[in-house]
Amino acid sequence: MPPADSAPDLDVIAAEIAAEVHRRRASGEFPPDLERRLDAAFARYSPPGSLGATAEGLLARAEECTAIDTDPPTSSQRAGVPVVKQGIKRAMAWYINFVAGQVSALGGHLVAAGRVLDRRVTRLESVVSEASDIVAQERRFAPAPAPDDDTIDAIARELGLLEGRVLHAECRTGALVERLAGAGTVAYGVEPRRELLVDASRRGLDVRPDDALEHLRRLPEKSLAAIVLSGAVDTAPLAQQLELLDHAVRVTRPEGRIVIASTAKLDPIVADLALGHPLGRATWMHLLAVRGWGDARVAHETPTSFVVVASRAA
Amino acid sequence: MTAVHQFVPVLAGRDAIGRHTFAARDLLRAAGYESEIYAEELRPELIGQAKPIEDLPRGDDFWLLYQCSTGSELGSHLADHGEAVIVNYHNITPAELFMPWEPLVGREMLKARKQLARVVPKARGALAVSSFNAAELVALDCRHVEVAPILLDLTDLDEAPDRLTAARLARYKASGGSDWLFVGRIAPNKAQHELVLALAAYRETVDPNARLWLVGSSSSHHYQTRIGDLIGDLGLQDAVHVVGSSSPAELIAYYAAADVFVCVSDHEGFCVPVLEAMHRRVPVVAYHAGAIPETLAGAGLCLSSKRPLDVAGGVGRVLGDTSLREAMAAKGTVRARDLDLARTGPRFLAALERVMAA
Repeated sequence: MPPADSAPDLDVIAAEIAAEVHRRRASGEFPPDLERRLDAAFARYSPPGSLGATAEGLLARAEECTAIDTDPPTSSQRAGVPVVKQGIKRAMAWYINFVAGQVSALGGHLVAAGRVLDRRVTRLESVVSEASDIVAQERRFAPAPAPDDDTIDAIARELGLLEGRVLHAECRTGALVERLAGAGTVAYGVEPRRELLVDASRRGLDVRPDDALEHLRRLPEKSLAAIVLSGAVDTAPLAQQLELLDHAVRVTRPEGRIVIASTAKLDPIVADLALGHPLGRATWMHLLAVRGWGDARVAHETPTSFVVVASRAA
Repeated sequence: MTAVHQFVPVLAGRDAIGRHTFAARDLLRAAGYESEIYAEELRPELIGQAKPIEDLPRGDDFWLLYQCSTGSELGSHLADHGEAVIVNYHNITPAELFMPWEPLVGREMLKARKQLARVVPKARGALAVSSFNAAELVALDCRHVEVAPILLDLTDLDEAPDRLTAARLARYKASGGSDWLFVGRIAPNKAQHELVLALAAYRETVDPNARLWLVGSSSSHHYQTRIGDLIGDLGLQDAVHVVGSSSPAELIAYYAAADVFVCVSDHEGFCVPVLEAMHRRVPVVAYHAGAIPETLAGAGLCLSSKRPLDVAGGVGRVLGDTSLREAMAAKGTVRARDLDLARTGPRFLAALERVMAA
């Protein structure tokens, strides 16, 4: 039996499996239509609204339900009851059919409206990359360049030794977290690609597999001494870039620091698969200023990257 | 106060909550507390080991540890006990997972969550069996939450397996193919239907003789019926075995025969069977949902997608690589040992005392 601590990292293996299945799916190695057949098989048995249901499947079910059955069963084990039931059925038929006709018509119109909406939403999803699952799947495998050593040096210098926690989101392989922690700062990082965190975890760094925006949404107000944003700030859609900044402002203490480690030029593959584009340094400084962080400046700059550091104006 | 009594809405001897409740009582007594178990619904065989709730003493000179995983007729009244109540939260399944299948059960779950929301802010504090559960309590304005592990004596699984079940499983194994296992109630949140789909994908892409064993009683007649229909539609009648509830010895036989434990639940507050599988050195492949990553703690393969081909890919990798399987078994053993009763008992007691002192 191998000792537990020499075992391969299962997070890395999970990432490898996901990449391998993605590759095989894309190259057509799996039996054609296998997933679609399996999905369709369960859809036949699942109730409306259950997990994995598609809009078209739900609408088809709703349409079936618009055909209201006005012919109730009249059998019974008790003598005489069937005759009574049949009598009631005959007496009520004109009324029940009158109401059922209107309910069916209403259902039919609602299903038709649902189909129109579904077509419109499907069209929107195909042109709005942010909403598309296909794009999200592809983006998971885009390269993830890390800040270079000079940039890390510059950020570490700017932050100095702060009292309180410092967050790096997205921290890639944890190089900045390691630098800050080595200097005595309580630093941690979040990074959505868990495979990038394997070595950092082995080195005992506090790095967590998490989406930057999701993580920031959960953090309490003024809970950080400083925050460093990189990665997603360059590639997220504009609305999410602004939301990242708003949360950074919310979770950073008044005397703290906000650092934007951005790039002036994305890797070509990252750029092609990105939902948004990097913002210029002047734009970041403007956005920080209107949020009350007016003392922003460029602390480091190379031909391909820059670092904006902000503190609150005195 | 030197008495810590427990209240549990339904006390069944063998389920995870029942085992935890009895273990907590024994720990409390050993630590010098007076401790009894009171239940609304008590199985006849447990009379003598626990008391009906009507026998709960009046007054407020004792702590009441509320084992919460479902709703309770008395749930709302517990809020009136306020300071003396400590909630031990095992999680309540979100109603939306049950609603499409069993609306009446879903409604009970909604009711249970409403009760919880009334009790928790007034209680002295709470113990949660996972950080995932603790986060729910924090969101309900719980005054003091401690994460304290569920109490399980995993050495129960070291007993001899049921002979007949073991022989039956051995006959299947002799015919070739790997054995997937999932243990848990047949319930929509456990997503057994997706296990069936994953097995179908696995049989088409990796091992045409693979089998799936679903062990556990049913919480939803409709859902179980649909799973049966799905199995028939996919032609998997000989490959998927829905075996229902099993005795402890039968369960040991299933773990002993399993090549892999696969879990694709949409919601788990802890998932005891994952730990049981680890104790039995069965590698675990599970979907990243609820408290699963926390329970696995890096000792099982945690998948970020449960599309059939992704699950099949994960299981294929584990079963196709002997050294990986061995490594997972070793990691799982360490993880299970860390959560065995001998270690969790003192942690549970310390956490409870911190809540009482808060």
